[in-house]
Amino acid sequence: MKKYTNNHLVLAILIILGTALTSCKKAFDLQPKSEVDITNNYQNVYDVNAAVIGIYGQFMKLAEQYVVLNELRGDLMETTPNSDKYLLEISQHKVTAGNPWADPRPFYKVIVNCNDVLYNLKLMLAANKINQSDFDQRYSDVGALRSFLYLQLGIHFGSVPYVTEPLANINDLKNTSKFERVPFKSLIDSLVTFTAALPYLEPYSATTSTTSNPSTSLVTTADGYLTKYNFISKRCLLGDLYLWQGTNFKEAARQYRIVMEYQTNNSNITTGYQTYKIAMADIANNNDLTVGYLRNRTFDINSLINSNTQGWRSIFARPQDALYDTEWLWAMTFDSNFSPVDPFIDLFSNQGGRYLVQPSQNAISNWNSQTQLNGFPFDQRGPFTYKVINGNPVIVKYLYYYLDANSFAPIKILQQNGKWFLYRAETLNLHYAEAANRDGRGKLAFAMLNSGIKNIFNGVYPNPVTLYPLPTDVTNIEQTFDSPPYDFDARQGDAPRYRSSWYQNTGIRGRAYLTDLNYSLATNTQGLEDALIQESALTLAYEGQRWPDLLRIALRRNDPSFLANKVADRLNRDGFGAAAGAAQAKLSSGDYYLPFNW
Amino acid sequence: MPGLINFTTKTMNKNIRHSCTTLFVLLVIFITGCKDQWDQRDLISDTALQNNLSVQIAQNSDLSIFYQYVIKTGYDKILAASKTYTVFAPNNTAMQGVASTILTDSAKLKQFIGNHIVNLAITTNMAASPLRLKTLNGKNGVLTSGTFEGSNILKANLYANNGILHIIDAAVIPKMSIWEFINSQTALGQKQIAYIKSQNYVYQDTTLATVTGVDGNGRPILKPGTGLVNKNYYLDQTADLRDEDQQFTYIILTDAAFDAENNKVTKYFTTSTADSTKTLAALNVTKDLVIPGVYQQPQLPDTLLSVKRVKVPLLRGTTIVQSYNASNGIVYVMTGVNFRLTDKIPTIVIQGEDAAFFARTDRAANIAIRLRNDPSGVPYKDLFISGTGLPASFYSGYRVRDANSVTYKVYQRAINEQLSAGTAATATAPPVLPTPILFNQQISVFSPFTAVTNFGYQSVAYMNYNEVLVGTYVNTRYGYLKITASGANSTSVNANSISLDYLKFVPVLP
Repeated sequence: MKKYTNNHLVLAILIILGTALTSCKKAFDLQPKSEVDITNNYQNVYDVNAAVIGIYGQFMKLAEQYVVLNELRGDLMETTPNSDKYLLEISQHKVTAGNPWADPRPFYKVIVNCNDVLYNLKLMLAANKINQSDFDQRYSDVGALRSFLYLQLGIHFGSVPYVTEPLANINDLKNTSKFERVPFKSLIDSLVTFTAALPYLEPYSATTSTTSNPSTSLVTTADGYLTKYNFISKRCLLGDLYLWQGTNFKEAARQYRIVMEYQTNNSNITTGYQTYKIAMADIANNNDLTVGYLRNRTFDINSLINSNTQGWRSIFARPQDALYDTEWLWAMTFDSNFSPVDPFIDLFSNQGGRYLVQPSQNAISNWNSQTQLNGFPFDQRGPFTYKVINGNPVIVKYLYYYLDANSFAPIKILQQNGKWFLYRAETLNLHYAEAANRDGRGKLAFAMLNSGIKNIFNGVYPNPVTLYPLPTDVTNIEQTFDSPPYDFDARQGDAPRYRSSWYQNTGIRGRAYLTDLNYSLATNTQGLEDALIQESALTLAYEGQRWPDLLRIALRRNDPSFLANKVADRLNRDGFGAAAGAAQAKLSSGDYYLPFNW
Repeated sequence: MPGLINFTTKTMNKNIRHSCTTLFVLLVIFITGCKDQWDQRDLISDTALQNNLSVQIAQNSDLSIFYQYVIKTGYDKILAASKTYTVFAPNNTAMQGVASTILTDSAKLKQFIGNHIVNLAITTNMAASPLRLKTLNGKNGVLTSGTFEGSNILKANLYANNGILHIIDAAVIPKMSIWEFINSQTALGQKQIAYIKSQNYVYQDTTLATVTGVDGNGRPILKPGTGLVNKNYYLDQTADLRDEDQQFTYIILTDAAFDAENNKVTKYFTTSTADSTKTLAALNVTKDLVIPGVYQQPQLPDTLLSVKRVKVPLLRGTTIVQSYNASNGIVYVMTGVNFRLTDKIPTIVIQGEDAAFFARTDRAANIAIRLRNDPSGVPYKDLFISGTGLPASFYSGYRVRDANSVTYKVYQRAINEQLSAGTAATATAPPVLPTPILFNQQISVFSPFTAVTNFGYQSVAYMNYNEVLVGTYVNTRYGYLKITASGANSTSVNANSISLDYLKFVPVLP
């Protein structure tokens, strides 16, 4: 009886096994009905558009890591009592394995997807599934974004694997036998070569070569926001890469200059004068992006232009209108109506967020050591960047879309809107000036940093025009008389009449209503470079520029102390004396990078 | 081989059969044996935890006297309730030492018993550092690991199902609050106490009163005599000495000391009546006798800060006549507190930017509040009024509520930053550099009792960060003053400007 049952069981198993093995074959061959198979993913330009948007959607998830790595490692941002040990590690340059902020995999995740799109785009072009113009634009955009990500990886991890092929498993990257680590310097060279050779370096075209409906252009409006600010500015990136490479500053300047002139011939002359050119204040109406006061009341603190729609503060608070367009090259939007969630409210806000980071004492004293044109002994960009809320200094630059304009309480605690600020006109102008300064154009760099080209090149500067009046005929002044890309014409005259394309340029410090620095800097390359980096700290604070700024100069001058002293100074002043010594020793030895480990 | 297989199968079957039997036996044992234990899982084996505090106290023969009064005051019902309490019960020996005045007066008795009960479960190991616990009578008692309000804990941490019982060796007699102590005093410090009592008043609290209707304007009509609250102006202006949850050090001056301190300041409170002067002087003396925090005698520092942030020099040529540990602090009766006159008759500082009013309300465009750092890097704000359209003799105005009747030296700090535009260079002449533009301004003091005092137009020097003596003002009456800073009687731009960082009224004291 027992035997009988056993036999039956064996038989049953055999039957089941047999059925399974033979009949499965066809089931696997069936195409899935609700999902697109990988081989069918890239059929036309709409598929590529979806892939590009998907990549940028993934890229947005790097926002918080980007800001934390680029700012907390520098000297402007400090941890708070709420910060966990991982943030403290980043802040104090003693990262251990398993620190999620120092994990390069999220970057590689996007890179791998970029590689996939680039690979398939080439296949599509070969198969005539996409036309050349559509291909060029999308290939260049994704390629540039990949270069941007690699630049970030190089900045933080030093030597990293430079993978340009589609990749199955990210964790393989740790294996040095499979993926060779490329030193940062060689990485930049590779990135320059690749990025400079991209077929299309301008922004996505809003017009298309076909009349397909819906439009095949990626420049459109989605969820109430213009999509054009989502995409990387390829020329800005290329300029930055040349700046990092440090061998061809003229080419860097040339790339930046092309961007600066994008709108010069716009039929709307105001747009032409203002876009990316750091335009002067609208004294009468204050519809501008400068630090300003009510007309004729500039000595009164109560007349400060302090709103979400006017003045310098509005750069970080205004809707995507005409003035926004004169400033922003790259800023991605977070909105409570779509994913991902704005990570910056959690990071910065003490209302509805965890308040994990705050401005450092160094940053605050940077602002407090400036003088405004009306004698006020601080840089107003400081109070616009951070604000004491409920007793804590809070970085509000990222919170203007979330907090009420006057009370600074959340408008709606769950309506977490914001932006990831990546690149704007001041970044562009400061980087241009850095390149120009290194290429022997100290005076031009000084002009762009201080009160603008028209003023510095007026022939009497640094004497005041009130005592040394300018000639009525400005034909031969207010311009650089230089070769491209250093040829600027900023003439403003009435007899004969001039309103040259750069006449509105007011300079970075002029825009901030600050006094000019000492004119001797114009002939002091290193001193002026210091000043440019310092100005970047004042105006681009917390926009992810600080650590790259410090590292770039430290590498260029082969002077680790430039970076090490600043970080140590920050830690000392914020009460982390013990950590300061260790961080200074580590950075001074040229050990700038995070471990490539997870 | 098949034989072998057969053998193993047989052995296996045998093994399985054995196992099954064992399992069955175990199961039976488990099902039958566990039953009682399972049902008893929530039974309380500790008999102490079966009773509430009321029963616990009743059953303890050493607490029989205490329990007798617990019943008398009705606290037995409270201690039988399901809230959580801690009782510090004095044993019978301790209870025998309690004065009969307390035990026979039902109000005092209720206070007394309530003083031993806390509405929290507290064990002595929680009091590693002393805990201040609120008792049911509204007072607070201090628990340390071995004592409660100075009484030793004989048996600690006896559990009951609604709290914890501690047995102590002495009854804790409720202490008076500072306010109760002041009102109970009949011998020392009578003059000061008389003043404080004179500040009592009664007012009708609209939230407590009975509303009988609504008048024509929609305001509630309150029933007379309801919602009356006893208040005291002195407490309103210093600190609430009745509050059991705060802690103060309070000083009562002996009559001689009170008179001496009053005599020092009376002349600075000249008013129209002697009575009001007396009251004001008394307030001035006594307002700084309230010190936040408890300072026991051995640790009593040389100088303390009063609730009004005035230095109180204790123990400088004075002695403590009496001290009392009140429930909310400590009271010292002293033969004097030698206040410094400069602390009592303070310098008045008026910030220029805090102007209360201006000559006209339509010239906001001329008025600027400037932010600056002085040459030593100290930030300051100042007021600067200038520009086109500024009327002649424009002024900014300030109010002072409590200027003393004293001679004040008036200083101003005013920074003049005005510069001319200079003259541009010509083909033949070099430029003329900008030069300072001076202007005159005048400080005036208005008192309700005397004619206006104008200090005259004085030139404001260029970039002078020093205090400049403007004049001397003799204030004959204590009270309100109005002060203005006026520009020149001119409408020329830059000539009629006003600049003021601050004004300082420094009393001339002996």
